[in-house]
Amino acid sequence: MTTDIGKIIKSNSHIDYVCQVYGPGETAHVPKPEQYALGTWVQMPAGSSQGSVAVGLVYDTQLYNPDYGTFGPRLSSQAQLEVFSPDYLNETALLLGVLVVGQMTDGRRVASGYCPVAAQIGAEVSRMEPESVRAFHENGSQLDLGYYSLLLSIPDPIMPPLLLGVLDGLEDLMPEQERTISALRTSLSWRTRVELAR
Amino acid sequence: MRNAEPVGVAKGPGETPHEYTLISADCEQQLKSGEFVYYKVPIDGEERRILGRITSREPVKLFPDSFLADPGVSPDELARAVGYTQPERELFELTVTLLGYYDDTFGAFINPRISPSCGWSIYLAEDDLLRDTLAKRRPAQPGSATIGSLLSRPDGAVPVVLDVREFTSTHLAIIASTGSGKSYLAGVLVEELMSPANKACVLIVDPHGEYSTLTELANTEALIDRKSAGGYRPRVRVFTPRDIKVKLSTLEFSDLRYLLPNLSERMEELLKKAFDRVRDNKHNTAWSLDELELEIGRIVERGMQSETAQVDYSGSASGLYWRLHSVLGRQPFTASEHLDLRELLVPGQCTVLQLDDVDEKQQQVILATLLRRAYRARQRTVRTETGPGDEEYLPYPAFTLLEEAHHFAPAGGDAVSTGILKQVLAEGRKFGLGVGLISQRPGKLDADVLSQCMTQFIMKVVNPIDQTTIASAVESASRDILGELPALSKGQVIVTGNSMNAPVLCRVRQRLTTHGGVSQDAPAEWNRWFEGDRIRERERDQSVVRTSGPRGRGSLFGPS
Repeated sequence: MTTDIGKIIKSNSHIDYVCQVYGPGETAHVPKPEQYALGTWVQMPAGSSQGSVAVGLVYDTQLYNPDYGTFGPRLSSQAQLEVFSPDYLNETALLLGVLVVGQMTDGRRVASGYCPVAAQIGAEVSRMEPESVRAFHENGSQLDLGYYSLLLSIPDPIMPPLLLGVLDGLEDLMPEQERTISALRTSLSWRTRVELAR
Repeated sequence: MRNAEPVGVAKGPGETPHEYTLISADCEQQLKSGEFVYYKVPIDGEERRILGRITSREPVKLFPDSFLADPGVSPDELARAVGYTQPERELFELTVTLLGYYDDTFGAFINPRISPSCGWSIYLAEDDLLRDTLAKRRPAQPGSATIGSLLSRPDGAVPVVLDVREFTSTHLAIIASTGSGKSYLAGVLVEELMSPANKACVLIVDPHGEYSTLTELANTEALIDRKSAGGYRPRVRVFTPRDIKVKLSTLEFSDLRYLLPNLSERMEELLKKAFDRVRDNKHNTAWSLDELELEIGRIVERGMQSETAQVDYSGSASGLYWRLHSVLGRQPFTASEHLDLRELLVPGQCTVLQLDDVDEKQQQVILATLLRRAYRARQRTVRTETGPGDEEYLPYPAFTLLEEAHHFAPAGGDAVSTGILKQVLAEGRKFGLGVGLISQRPGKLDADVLSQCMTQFIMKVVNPIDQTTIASAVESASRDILGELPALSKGQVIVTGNSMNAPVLCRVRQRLTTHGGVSQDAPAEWNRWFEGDRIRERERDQSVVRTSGPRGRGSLFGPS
């Protein structure tokens, strides 16, 4: 069973989406922080056909609070605040940056590296099951990380550790690809940890 | 003919005017060093294929080193994992040395001096194209010698066919280090020379007795021609050291001086006088050692009797007698017999002169006298100074193959055979006397001698001195092809010079006869020493025979 995390509220580009995590009152089961941690594989409906989803990776988390720094007079008294505080509670949010890196239809990988069709505003973002993550990375008997160079080309210092975390996760999911994953991790680790430290 | 697919794209001119570079992924790994490629260009209204040889190959795009860290995971696999699924893995820049287009009129390659422009398609030369252009002859054609096939192509796809007429007149050299197959190649060459296509007259000077297996030539079916009128079967004659005789009268004074050790000035003077007299007296036909000694005795005696004589040779004479006896008083020197040229040199006959038990100086003198006689015979025959029945009548060209040539023409040495060898190499062409030199140490071979050989077979050579000698002596071998020398394997040879239209890397074909120059298998021999029957045999041979003869009186050591 998939776990709903939140919904798409906007995008910065064709591959970079913003998901607002469900808060109390918006869903029956409010997702726990571990369920949308950095490096979590998520999916969201994309395209008109049933079962077509865009596959994404949580690459960023932001705590949104527009009133931070506004210390004006409150309309409610202290007693009222304990019961109802719309000016404060309703305008904060937890936002996730989701990088869309592929597409799946009916549990089978369609594209790796990018998703040709865009997700819509309000599209429900859910956590991918391990089987789906595995299926997304399989191309016959080969490991397929078609998004590898895309992630590394994004000028964000979080990308290399994120990719290393992804490789760690895949190693558990796909033990038969352990040597390939290990070789990639060694190469990436050296590049991003040793060469950059020079 | 099907349209060939390009294998690369021209990048631009190379470092020298006769080079260009091309870029290729070479997914099928066809563009090896030494391989032939071409581009098309219209010349005088005709599309010409400009042939060139790949001389270097530099990678311009390779997998990152970190992809090569785990031997258990191929870089291909890693590339696929990160989403790279194209068949092209690497990219190379190849340098091509231009040969040109083959012109039927000239029978040679003509360099058009047009480098391919950037972007022109480059094609792999088809087998047919190479067959038609690299060799001057076709297989089995009269005057052809098929010694193998092009190394970069499947075995037999492009035969390497030499022009026998070229190398038998402008000479050849086989240069290779020990064990790289030079005697094997020489065997192949002899087989080709003795084939019905050539029916050559070949003399092999064999200081190691390696060529005795060539006697199989006579029974090798491929070399026998039963169809033509009269038929043809090659003949082989092997002369052992016992059969070899040198008539004293064929020796020059320089030969004598070279053979006789430590001659003092006085001895040399005495010998020269006696030699001149004995030669003049007998009109250079047949004088014996006794006659020479007699003449020496006369000169000494005359010197002692004459009061006016200023020189007393009596002291030198005894030493000279001893030297003459110790050197000329035995095999192979005789007063009246020597190898008859008409027996040695016959078309359709391969004569092997085994010199394995002969002292090196004597070997040189034997060769020098033989070459001198053959050269003179050819000279006189060509000038019609002799006729049938005459000992110096040799009405056909001859080819001499010289093993261990550095013994006969050493660099900086004073070997008696060097002079005549140089003369034959320089002028033999006019009189139809060809020489093939075989040497494992070109650095020890006289540079003039080597540079006179216009067809070269160069096999694996590792020694840097030898490599330098080859580079300086072999004009037709370009530097790039010489760079292949240390990397050549057994049976692979660079053929360059007059007998081919372009230098080629060749895989020597299988011999039809057994190869005689095989190294001894020492470990096998040592192991055989300890085999049961060999041990028993040894014990039997070494056992002391117990005598049980009569003892007693008259017995020398018995009890009294």
